[in-house]
Amino acid sequence: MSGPALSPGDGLLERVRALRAAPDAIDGGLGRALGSSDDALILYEAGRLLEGVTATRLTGIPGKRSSPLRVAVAATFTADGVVPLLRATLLSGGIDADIHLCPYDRLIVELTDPRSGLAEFRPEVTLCLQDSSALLPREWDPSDLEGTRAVLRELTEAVISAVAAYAERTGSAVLLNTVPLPRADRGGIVSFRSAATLGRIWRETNIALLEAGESRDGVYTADLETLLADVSGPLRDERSYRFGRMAWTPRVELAYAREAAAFCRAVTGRGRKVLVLDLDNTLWGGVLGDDGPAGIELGTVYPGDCYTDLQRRVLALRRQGVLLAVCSKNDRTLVETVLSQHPDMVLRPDDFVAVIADWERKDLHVASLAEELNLGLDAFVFADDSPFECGMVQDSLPQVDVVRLDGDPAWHSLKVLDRARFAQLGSTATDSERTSLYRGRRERSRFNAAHTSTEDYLRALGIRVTVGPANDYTLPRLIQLELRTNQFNMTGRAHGEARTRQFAASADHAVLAVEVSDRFGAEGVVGGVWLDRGERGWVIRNFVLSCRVLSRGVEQAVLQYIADRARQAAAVLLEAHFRPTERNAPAAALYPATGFVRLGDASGDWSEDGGLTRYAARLDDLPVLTPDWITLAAKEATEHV
Amino acid sequence: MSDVLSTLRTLVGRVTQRPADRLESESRLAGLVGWGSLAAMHLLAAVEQTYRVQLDLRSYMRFETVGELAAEISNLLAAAPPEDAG
Repeated sequence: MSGPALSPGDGLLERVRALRAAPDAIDGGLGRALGSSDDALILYEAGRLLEGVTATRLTGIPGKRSSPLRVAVAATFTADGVVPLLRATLLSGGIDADIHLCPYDRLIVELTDPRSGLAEFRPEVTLCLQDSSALLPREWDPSDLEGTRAVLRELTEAVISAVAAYAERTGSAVLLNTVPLPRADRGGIVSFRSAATLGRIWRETNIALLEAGESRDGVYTADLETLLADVSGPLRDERSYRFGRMAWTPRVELAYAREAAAFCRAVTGRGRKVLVLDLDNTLWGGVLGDDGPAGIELGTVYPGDCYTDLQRRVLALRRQGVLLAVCSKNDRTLVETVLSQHPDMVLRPDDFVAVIADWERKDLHVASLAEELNLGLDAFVFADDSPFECGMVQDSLPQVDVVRLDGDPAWHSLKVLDRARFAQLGSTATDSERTSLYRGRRERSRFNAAHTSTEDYLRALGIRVTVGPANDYTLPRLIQLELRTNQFNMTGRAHGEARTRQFAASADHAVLAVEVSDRFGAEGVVGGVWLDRGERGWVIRNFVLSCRVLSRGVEQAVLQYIADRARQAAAVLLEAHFRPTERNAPAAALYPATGFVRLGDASGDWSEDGGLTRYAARLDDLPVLTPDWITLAAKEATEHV
Repeated sequence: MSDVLSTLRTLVGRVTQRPADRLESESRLAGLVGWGSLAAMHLLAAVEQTYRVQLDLRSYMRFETVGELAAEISNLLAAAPPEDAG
């Protein structure tokens, strides 16, 4: 008899081998191809082959970070299979990573021992994979479920406190997971009453893990138990488990790896920020120009309900901080009528930062929208039902994440709502107001065009800069901002959540929040400063500012605030750190231009570590820095400084 | 060469990272660089996924050569031809 044909995955592996064999080769579509494959065995082999290959070669997009992301995998079972899957998934999403696998079943020791291999690896992301064997005693007694419950509780609390202490000590972002109960353990229960009790106490365990991910600093939880609803096949293969303590089948490992990669995206601030949507056959069914406003499909009956559902999902994204824009080849007046008047529209004109409806090229529109909003193209998602438009945007703007909404509209929502796409660690107050913030930014750029001299324009803006110590409300935003800011980021590095919170609470350090408002409205928290406060001198360890407020003198005003406070504290010297990265050229000029003197660089004696340049100024020598068009205000509500 | 053997050589090549044409029916699995318990479990999963058969781990672990494993797969396929292979 004839053997079955090999899977299409072998073609994928051929491409991976070819890429690996030619060190200068680039296969820009390979990342996308890997991302859309669900064959865990193929992706596992691809991940093994891709060790040492950079993401740029799979995506065709230049890398953002100078060093790979350090990711540790610490598991209570044999999780070796997760590592290649994680590598393949991260690379396909454009993230280079060094992945460290801890010895199996030493999770607590690795977390608590400051000299463990895990501690020495100094991961930015620590994945703590747990299976039921870590929590459920092998000899658990179905006739004493209350006793089992007590043990579960104790072990779960032990893990959570070890993880929380580790996150605080190291500043690493930690991912826990909810633990699915294997069939063998469920099957051992005879009575329906006891099965319900076991289900309940097991859920209590998972709820404790989820609560840790809701509230503990630096600790997050992947809900693996829920992810399994979309994985075909069993949680574990009893043969692999008995033979080698492999607790997850490759498909489960892949589902986990994808969630973990989404977490890494969130940690590195790579979640997308703007969703650009087509209209005809995307946000509604039919063609507006042909069918008319009354003829388009929306509402409660298939296929109209698919489009209505997509609109609801997209509105939910908007409420979580994703910016929405329309880019449609359409008649503008008709579009405006439908957006504001059609009774079945969920999305309304105010939900969008921009509504573009004309007959120009969409790739040009997306590019100019990026410029107007002052966001990188790698923040953009483009969703369209036309393969032509999708192909054009993909070709001309490879950084844009293109979602092809051809085919049955029942799939539209799921295609747009990929977990990794818009991934964020937490939500901040600014997220929910972002649409109006950015609409203000577009108005500013029009206002800008109406004023001839820059200084006239800036004076007319009435800019107010408020600086003060971080508080509970501004800290999440500052942590997020330091991660996300690439251009005006003095060192290109982030302190992370745990260290930032320590800095904010310490008398020897400070974290400052910078807020900017002008006649168009408040921008919210747009900048942060991480400081050492020594007796004689203060050190600006990092200073980040959102690029949307650059070139208005805000950065000088912030330095003024710091200098004023340092003088009040009787310091005489202000020092500042700078480390050049691929993207932070806009920040390089600030210290030299404001009277700071360079003390030394990477090759000099003064450098602390790679590439760091130290600047210093005597506080007596510093001139007035705040430009005359800015009002600088101090916000000292919670007095630390 | 049988089709099963030809496909199996590709699968073994996958998990041990070598071209299929460098594997023979007589190639000893334990002698291949890259062979180990993880490679063995991934080969097992790949064989079972490709042929929709299930092997007994005890007999699987006794097979020494690519050819022996191919013969076992052929036997399983002959005993219960899967309806949806391919």
